[in-house]
Amino acid sequence: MAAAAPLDTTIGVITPENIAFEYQLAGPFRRLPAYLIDFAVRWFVVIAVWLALAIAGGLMSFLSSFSGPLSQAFFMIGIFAINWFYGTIFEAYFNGRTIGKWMCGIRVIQVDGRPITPRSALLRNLLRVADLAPAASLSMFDPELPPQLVIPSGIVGLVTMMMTQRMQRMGDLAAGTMVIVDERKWQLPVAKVDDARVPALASFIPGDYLITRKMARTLATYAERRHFMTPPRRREVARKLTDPLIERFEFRKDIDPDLLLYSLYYKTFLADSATESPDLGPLSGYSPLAKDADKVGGLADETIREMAQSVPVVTDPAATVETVSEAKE
Amino acid sequence: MQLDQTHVAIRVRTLSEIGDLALVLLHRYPTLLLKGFVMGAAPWAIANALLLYWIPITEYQYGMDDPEARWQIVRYLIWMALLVFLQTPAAGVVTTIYLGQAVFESKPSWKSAASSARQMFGRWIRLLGFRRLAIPAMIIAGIRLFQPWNTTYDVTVPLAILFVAIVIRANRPFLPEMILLERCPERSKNSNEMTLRKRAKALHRPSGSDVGSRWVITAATLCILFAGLFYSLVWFRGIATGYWNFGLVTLLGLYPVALWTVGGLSVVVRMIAYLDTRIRLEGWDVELAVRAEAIRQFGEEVEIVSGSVAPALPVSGNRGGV
Repeated sequence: MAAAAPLDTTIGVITPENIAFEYQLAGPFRRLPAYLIDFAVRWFVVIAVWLALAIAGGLMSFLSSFSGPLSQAFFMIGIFAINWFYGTIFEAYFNGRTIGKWMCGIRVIQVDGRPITPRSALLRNLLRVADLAPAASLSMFDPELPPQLVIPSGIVGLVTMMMTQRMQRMGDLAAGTMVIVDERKWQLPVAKVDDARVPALASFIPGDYLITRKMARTLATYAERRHFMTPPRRREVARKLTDPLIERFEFRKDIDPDLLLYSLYYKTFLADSATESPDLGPLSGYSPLAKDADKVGGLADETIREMAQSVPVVTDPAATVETVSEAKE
Repeated sequence: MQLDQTHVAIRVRTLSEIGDLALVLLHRYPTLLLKGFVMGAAPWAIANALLLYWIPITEYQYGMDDPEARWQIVRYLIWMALLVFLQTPAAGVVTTIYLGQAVFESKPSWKSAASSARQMFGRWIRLLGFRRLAIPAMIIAGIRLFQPWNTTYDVTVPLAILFVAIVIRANRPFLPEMILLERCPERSKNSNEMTLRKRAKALHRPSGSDVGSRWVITAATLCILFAGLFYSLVWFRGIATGYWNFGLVTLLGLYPVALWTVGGLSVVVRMIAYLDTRIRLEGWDVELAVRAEAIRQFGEEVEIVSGSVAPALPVSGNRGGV
């Protein structure tokens, strides 16, 4: 039961070229919208074919016996071909994607990370009918209706996906494939520091305070997510780390915890990239240090806060893309 | 143990990912989750049997083909579905506590989960049993024991209860998790202390439409899943025994089993959705990362004594909470 990696819908794959990838698996709930879209597309095509045959049959009826049983036979063959080979053709020649999968951002690959082959695509699509079992017939609801098994329950596929590590349905197991989320790796956006108090406070953080890799990652996560939290919540979260830091840095006790954590982020990721010293404007000369507490004002003062908001952005965030991404890795 | 190295990956997820992660959890802990949910659901299932099984048994003796028998079977199906729907949060108490532990630990223990559930019995039975209408609905079903079909009691009342329950649960879907995992007091003389009411408001109100719509979509998906599962059970029984009729085995066995199975899945989905809401709204993952960093650098956590906006998730004794 114990596992080294945290439980998630991801799986590590090592390709035959010995390259390791981590894919996010698409389980049944992620695949369901794609299936419904493909279902709609298939029947749209079926209706289009039926219309085309009806028109062709109508035009040719005066020449031959194309209308009637022959056109019906073509129509039935068309339905069969579309329903059974739509997925095969798209997945084989569209890099593992059908229209539904493409719209939902998922695709099929081999379990070793290679692109799906036409043979695998055929196999997994032929076995779809088994995954949709057991199917209910229309006659269950009305004995007058034909006993066609057209209402799939999909329980076989669901149970199979639940029981396999790669969330594979029976078709996937037979074909050696899996469905993954086809998204680019998530990266942190660069936080834009537009508060002049941040570089001001960052300039007082002692130079001998070393930021570890884990601390850098924590700061990057905090800076990215703080915008989604209310100010009281930001302070509450930040205080867990900043209270002992304030003592260590010998800062005043009234320093805003959120501001201090954001300043650490600035110092870690942005300060070194700035080509010029930040223009502190009205904050020049103020100190957050406890020993300077007798001085007028400070970074926590409301008046200073208001003045600081008028100071323009002080750094070029574009220069920090690599640094932030590196920290996340 | 580092707080930011959880056993279940903590990150923002879409609703479909939440469903998939629920299946991953079921794949990882199939026996344990089944055992825990059966433990929680068994008393309720037995009570339902005592309250409702007389209906199909009586009708079976007289024959199931006449119109009156059909109405009585419909009555049984409606009441059984309603009771299971209302009882599921209370039946999932042990599972919820267990999953709370599973977030941080690779080997959570049923013993401690069951012990926590016992300690909080009075609290959750009052809030999830009475206020969420499970026990009042059972009392009404009990009053109607061995009574003939009555449209008011067997259609209007269940529909009214269902409607009220849907409104309550769609508004506060994560109350069971708050009661069992956050353990905020129900009342407090200290106005600064976070009570259950304040906490529920703080978590549900800012993302009310999102939480409500997610609940509705999840409920609709689970209804479809129930239909598929129930049909599959009937189908497998038909294949195995050759009996395809809608007899007592189906009514007394397969139907409640399908309802409780989907109920059990809903408990797992709700727990993950609760964590996801906390991550989205309160930056719970950020808090864990910051707390872990504080422990790494200074060896101990800074305790926030009062004025906490969002309590920590106290999943086991050594981690503390509010």
